Amino acid sequence: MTNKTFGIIGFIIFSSIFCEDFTYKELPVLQSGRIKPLDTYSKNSLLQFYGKKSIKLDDGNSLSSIDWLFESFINPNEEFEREIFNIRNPEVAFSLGLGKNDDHRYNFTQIIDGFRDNKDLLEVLKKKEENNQTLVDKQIIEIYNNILSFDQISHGVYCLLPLINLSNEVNREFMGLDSSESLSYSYFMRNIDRFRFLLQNLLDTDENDWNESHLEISKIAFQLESMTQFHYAQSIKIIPGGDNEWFSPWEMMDGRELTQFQYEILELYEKLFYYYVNDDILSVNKYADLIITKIDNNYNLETSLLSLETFYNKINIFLFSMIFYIVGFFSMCIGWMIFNKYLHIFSFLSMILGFFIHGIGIIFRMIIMQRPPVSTLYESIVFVGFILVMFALIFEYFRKDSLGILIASVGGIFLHFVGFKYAADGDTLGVLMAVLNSNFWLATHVTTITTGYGVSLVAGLMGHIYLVVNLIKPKNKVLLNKIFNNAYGLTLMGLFFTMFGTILGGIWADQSWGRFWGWDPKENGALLIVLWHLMMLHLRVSGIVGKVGYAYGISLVNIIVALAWFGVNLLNVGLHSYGFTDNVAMNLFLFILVELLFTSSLLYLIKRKR
Amino acid sequence: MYSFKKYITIVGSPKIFAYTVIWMIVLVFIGTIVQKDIGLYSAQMQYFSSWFKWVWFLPFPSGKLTMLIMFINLSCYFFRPGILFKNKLGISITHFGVILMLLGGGLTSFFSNDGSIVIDEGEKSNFYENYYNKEFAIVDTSNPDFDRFVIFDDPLLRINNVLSEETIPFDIEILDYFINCKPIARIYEGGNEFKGMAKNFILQEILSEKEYEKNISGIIYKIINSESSDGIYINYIGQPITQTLTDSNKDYMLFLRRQRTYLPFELELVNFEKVMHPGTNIAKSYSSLVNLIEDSVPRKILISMNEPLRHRGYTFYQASFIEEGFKQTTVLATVKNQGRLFPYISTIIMCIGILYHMLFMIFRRKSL
Repeated sequence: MTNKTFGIIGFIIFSSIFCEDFTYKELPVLQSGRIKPLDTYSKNSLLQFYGKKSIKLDDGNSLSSIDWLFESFINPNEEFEREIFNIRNPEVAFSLGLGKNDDHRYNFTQIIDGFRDNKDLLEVLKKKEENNQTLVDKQIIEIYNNILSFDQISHGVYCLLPLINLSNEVNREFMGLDSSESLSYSYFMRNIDRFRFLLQNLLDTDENDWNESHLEISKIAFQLESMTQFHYAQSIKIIPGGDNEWFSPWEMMDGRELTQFQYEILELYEKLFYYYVNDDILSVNKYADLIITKIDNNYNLETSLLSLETFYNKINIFLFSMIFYIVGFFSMCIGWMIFNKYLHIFSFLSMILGFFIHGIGIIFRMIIMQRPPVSTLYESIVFVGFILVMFALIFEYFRKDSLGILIASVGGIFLHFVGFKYAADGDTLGVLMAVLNSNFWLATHVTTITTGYGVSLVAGLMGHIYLVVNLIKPKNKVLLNKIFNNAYGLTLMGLFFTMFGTILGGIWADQSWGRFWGWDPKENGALLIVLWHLMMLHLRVSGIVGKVGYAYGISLVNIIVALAWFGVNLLNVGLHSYGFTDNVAMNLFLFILVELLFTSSLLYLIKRKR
Repeated sequence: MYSFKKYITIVGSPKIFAYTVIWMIVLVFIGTIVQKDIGLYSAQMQYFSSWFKWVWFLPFPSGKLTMLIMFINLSCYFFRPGILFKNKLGISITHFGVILMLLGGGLTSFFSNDGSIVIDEGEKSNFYENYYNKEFAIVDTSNPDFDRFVIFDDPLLRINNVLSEETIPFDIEILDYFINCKPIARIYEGGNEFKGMAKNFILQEILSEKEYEKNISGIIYKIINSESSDGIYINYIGQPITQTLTDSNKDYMLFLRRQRTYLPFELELVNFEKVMHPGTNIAKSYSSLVNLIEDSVPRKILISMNEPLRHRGYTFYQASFIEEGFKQTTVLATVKNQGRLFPYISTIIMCIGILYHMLFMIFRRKSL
């Protein structure tokens, strides 16, 4: 059965990566320092505004981000009425004069009116220093920036849209047109030399002598003039200009000398939008393919990466790995209840399958970004989950009593949820600062330390299991000893990985900026985990704590890991801070509280039973 | 002999280690949290690089003392019997690695010297400046062939301290010294006792910056026992106008500046380059092309992120840059660290130790 599934997955992957034609989703665009498919661009923008990757429509259907983006391109004014701006904080909505709204979503026009009516508000906020801004202040500024960037996006390709009719025979013939297609602003700019002649002719003719062709030209001149107002919308960088620089269509319209290549790309884009407006998706894709191939020929684009990224966006791979983990968890639970051996095997296979999909997801990201598995906080969450499941499954392979599956599924599912939460914050495929841009050290230090996090979490969960089993079956000494030995071994392994990860980090620091250790929060965080493991080992060796105490202590390592991993970002000092949301503090606090309550009450119950 | 063994057993007890580690956890935890408020440098000074952390009038052992205790405790481990037996060898090797690591840390904290060298494009420099320590320099410029420097180091810059040196015809009494201050223009000109910049400016002490290296230190001093220059003067870091004075027919310049360490060679910045991620303000990489000039022979070297220059025990890292108009300036972090190799060696030793121990455990289990 598994072979078949693999076959199908493999087929899907290969067919979509190596199919020859590109679609409009894969059109390359430069954003945040990286060439990415428009599909990713649209997803990031929609996440930023709406909080989700697709829009739920009133009729129950959903609008994908790429379709939303194209709709915004061709019908900006209609899209201004769509409620896509998520304002969760009622205080923010109120201060902008927006009414109550159950789904917290507002449209562009409402918000822009809100800002217009409260002009002073923004002025005051802009003058405030960042340290003095309250949460509401920050959110208002964020909404304002979102509004601005949506305005930029929606008019970003306005100059490529077929909005201008040139129907007069004389004019058409002069411009060398043989069909009656509508034309774009960009068309006139590309053919400015011919059009200039028509304009000159218009100026030279007395207004009373204007014929139909003159009238049309004057109308078009007026129309072009009024479209120029959107010249500011330069955020859609889809036209390569050499030297790593990419330009937006509007930048091409400022009268600069166009290269032959840029001229042709603009022409192709005009065609593409012409067909999009006319609902001919086949032709749209044909032109998209032409554009991508052309850019690839001239600028050596990594086109397979664009396709891979679009594919990665589409399949939402980590959803599948989580589903398999959930299936594994429940089949294990049922298998426990009814003592069914086959269910146990089934749950193990399900976990293995989830684990492979998880791994494929990580490999996809590595290929797309051309860097080692962990370089951002989001990636560390995905990777720690992977390591945790891996170690737990290795244990399961040797023990065969479902405890490994329990740890793998609980940890895997939990970390998947945390990961999804982070992914909802925006782009998870970002570029890196100069200091971090070293594949060697990312591959060694970061991978080791995150592996350490993963193993430590497994050790912590093993401690939990020891406490629970001790409470339920205190008589089963054999089982308890086994679990204890595993927890102890895992502590050693966790110590191994966190210690070497930390030292490697120090060596990286020594190599890159001249000091081995600087008591920076992130370093201290990693050190805390190391010290915690050392403490537990020596508390046990010196006989200060017994087995139950040890299990309790090692359970708490989860809290230390969480603090070192997420807590230090809340301090926002030093070289390692990634930037974070205020939610993190709350969630972290809840996690610590729940962990403390759970383990401490277990400990209390065990002690009382004795 | 017996008592020595007993002594070792007590001092080297793993219980002590466990409790010390717990205390270290507390220190690291607090020392990290407070960084949000007092900044990294102060936290490091109070919690890690000092012997004691004073809370009100109670001294608590700080990082240095705690690690010294760990060091002593661990050292005693090696006086125990049987540490070279097969079953303990791995653990012993690992402990040895940890001891080396702590030793290296100690060496670094006592002997390392660091700072930064700042060079404009096309310029040369042969010294680096300490981030934190300041010095007071008096330069005798009256001889046309050379300048004579007299330097007073940071620890001497204390209130009421009188600085004097036999070749200088006057003494300097320090009236006030500020870690961080700002010059404020006087509304009315100061009296006759105020000289130089002090006539028109006063220094106002302000709270230390969270990033300690950003502090602008200032000094108010009185020149006494001179022929004609007695009076009150001020100096601060980055003062725009150099304080000069003439006494006993000699010209002097007085500076308060970051402590300088002179190198036995010179660096000249030929070109500074930075590459951005396209379309963003995020730097992808920086690099400085420098000429290393030793005995008047230049040699071209490229210093870039993650690829420092190492020469005669000094290491220069691309740390930062300054851009003003078209002028580019590179900032190279400079370190001279005697304990540099310790982490590398101790890591390898620890690695061998732990691997041995793991293999030993695995084979023991198989043989059972």
